[in-house]
Amino acid sequence: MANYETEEQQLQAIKSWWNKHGNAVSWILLVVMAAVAGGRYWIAHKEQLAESAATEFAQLRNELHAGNYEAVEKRVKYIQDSFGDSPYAVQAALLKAKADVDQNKLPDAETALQWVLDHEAQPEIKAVARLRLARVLASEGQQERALTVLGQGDSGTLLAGYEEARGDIYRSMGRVEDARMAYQKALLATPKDQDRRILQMKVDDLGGAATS
Amino acid sequence: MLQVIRDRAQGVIAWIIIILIVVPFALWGINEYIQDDTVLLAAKVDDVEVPLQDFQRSYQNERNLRKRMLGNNFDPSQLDDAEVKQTAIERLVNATLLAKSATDAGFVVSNAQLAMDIRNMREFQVNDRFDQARYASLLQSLGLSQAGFERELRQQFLTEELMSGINEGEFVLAKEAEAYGKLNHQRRSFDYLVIPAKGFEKRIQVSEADIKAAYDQDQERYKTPEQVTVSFIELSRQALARKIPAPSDDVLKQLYADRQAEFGQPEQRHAHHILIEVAKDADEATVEKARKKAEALRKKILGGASFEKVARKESADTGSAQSGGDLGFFERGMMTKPFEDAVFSMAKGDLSEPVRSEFGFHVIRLDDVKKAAVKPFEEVRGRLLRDYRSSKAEDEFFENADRLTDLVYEHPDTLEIAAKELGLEIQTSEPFTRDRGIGVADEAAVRAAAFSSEVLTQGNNSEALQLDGGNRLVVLRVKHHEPSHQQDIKEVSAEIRKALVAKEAGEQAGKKGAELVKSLRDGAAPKTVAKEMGQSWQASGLIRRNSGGVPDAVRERAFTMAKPAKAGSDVVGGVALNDGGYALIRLHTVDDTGSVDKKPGQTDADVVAETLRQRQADQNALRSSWVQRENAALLDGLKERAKIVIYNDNL
Repeated sequence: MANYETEEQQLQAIKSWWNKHGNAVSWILLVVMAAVAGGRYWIAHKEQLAESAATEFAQLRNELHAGNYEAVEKRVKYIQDSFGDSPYAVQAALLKAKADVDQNKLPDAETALQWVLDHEAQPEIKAVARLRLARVLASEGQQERALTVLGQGDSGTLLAGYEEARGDIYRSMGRVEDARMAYQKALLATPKDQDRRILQMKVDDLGGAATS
Repeated sequence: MLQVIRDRAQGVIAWIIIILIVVPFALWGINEYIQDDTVLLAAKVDDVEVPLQDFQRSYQNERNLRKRMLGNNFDPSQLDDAEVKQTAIERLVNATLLAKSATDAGFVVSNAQLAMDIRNMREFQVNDRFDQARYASLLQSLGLSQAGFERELRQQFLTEELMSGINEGEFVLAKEAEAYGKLNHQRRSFDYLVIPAKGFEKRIQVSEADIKAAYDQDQERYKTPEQVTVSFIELSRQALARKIPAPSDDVLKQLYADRQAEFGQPEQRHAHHILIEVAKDADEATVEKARKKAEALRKKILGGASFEKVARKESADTGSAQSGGDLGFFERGMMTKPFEDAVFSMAKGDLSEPVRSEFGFHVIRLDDVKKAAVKPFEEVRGRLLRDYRSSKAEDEFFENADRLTDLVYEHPDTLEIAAKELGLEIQTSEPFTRDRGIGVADEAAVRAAAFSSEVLTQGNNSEALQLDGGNRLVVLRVKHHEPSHQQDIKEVSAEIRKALVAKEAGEQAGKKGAELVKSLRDGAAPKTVAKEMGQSWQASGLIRRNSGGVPDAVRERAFTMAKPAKAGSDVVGGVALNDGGYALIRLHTVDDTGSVDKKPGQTDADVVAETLRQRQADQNALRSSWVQRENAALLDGLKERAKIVIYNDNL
């Protein structure tokens, strides 16, 4: 930078710089400030949304607990419409499926669980929804479809559950050997510290050890 | 002067001063960051740090949990510390991981919600309202900071939200419940025949060489366990109390006077009555009729008839009617209210007007009144004496306990001094092992002390062990130590022979059993088989999986056998029994209806209620089985994706 002789000259230089760049500087400042304000607003808005969803969800849980199915239905729809991206929407759909099963509205339960499969990213929750969907289908007498559904996704850490459900389905179809195989796989996949009484009972009832 | 400073301050000195001032301000508080780095960690879950402090609380909780579960059997020295630590850290890591995953997924717990939940917790309320002081003091007593508690609570709520779809959204379909009910409550009926191993034992030969081989193969088994016998002195509050000499009656009388209030006896009255029964909700005409009758009876008695005779003939209270309506002495609170009010307002010898109670009309005669009185001294003397001794013994017990603790510590190589000073007898225990003993060695604390290195190896007195919640103190030292030793083959050869014979007999019974199963399947008559074995077939009746009455192994086997294809075609199976015998089973029927048996004395409604209860229980069992699976799957999945580091060195 050049050296200025007097304060007068210095002032002059600043003024002329400002005349030249002042507009741009003002605009930049304005834009930065707007961006910061906007960002803050966005974050606050997001938080606000999440908290509203949480409040709605808390009420939904109470309604389900009280067996107020009409309210459950309305609130689930509201949560899915207003907070479709939030994790609460998926949890709400799982609760909806339970309300439907309790009212013996199995096709509605199917829809709710399918909604979870279409929206959830967490693999374990997805696996749970798929398992439940298969159970609902099997109860409706659609065993083949139930098996297909189970085959469509990775069971992941829920392998034992999948195999148990497969065993139940095969058994209801009279495919005893397939059922036995599935139950055996489920037993193998069940950790030692988990209750296996029910599973063991199902295997035993197939009369596997009869020839020994 | 000031001008000088001002002039100079424009230069280098000014800068130096500014820097001197700025540096401390800039660094102020930096130590907190540095200190933060040195906080010891128990674990790290992705980027979430779990401070050691949290682990210590979790560990303490685990210990307390076991203590509560075991109650008096809790023995700190038997506690597997590594296992407790493992459980504690696992629990902590899981909780952290779940809460973190919930946050990552976008679940929130707002401050307002958290505050509301805390305010609604019963524990923190006084007179149904949240109380800040109570909140603070309760947390403090739990060793928690408010921030820490709120953080933990938030974690818990987040986890609950994350899992709500699994836990609260779990359903059981009607068909599933039905299928499970059929299984769970299935009933089977079968005949079984036990082939005892004993029958084969006579023919079995065991040579010395066999015994030697068995002994050589399993020498470990023929070792005696390490045992100790201890001498001990025992200071017991009860024993002390027995030894306290009885005080003079003056002392007891003083105590009696002090405790007058306790020994009061309320007023008692003796009455006879005649009851004319009227239902509580009878119409007026009936009531009036009954009143007239009671009135008539009263007149009759007033006219000279014997109360007792009338009562015997007319009273509806059959219990007392036989004894002429006599009710004996009673206090207030023992009879129905209107009756009682009447009795306690009458004078001795009076005959009452008919009194209405829920049972009907009573005509009452008051025979005698025992005024409210204080129990006489003689009656309560025993109790006073007992209390006196117990309280005296308490003082003496605590004094002696202190003396005992000091004496056995000062003289670690003998019990005699302490025994002599305190007038205690030195007793000797039966020999006991680390795990088992009788008498004083029944106490885990006693066994642990006896086998501690201080007592066993160094030969010192144990410290004073508190038993029975502190009402007994025991100090012991080892009198005799019997180390584990290898038993000679001669000592154990009879035992080995017996075991070998039993084993061989079991094998033969099993072989015979398997043969018979085969021949039964091939069509041999059950009767012939029974005759051959000299045993008879037992019928199980229609029983459930968990019914008693049939040996467990037999029942379990019967429930895993294939089902008969049609009525009359038995399925045959066999099972080895624990005692070496073998059981043959002929399964007749499998009943899948899941119906509830009608027990004697039950109505159909009871059966319906029981059926509903059973169905509910089945549903719950199924639901929790699925929930358990899915919970575990979620946790396992999250664990697979997370980076979890546990700093075992810090634990």
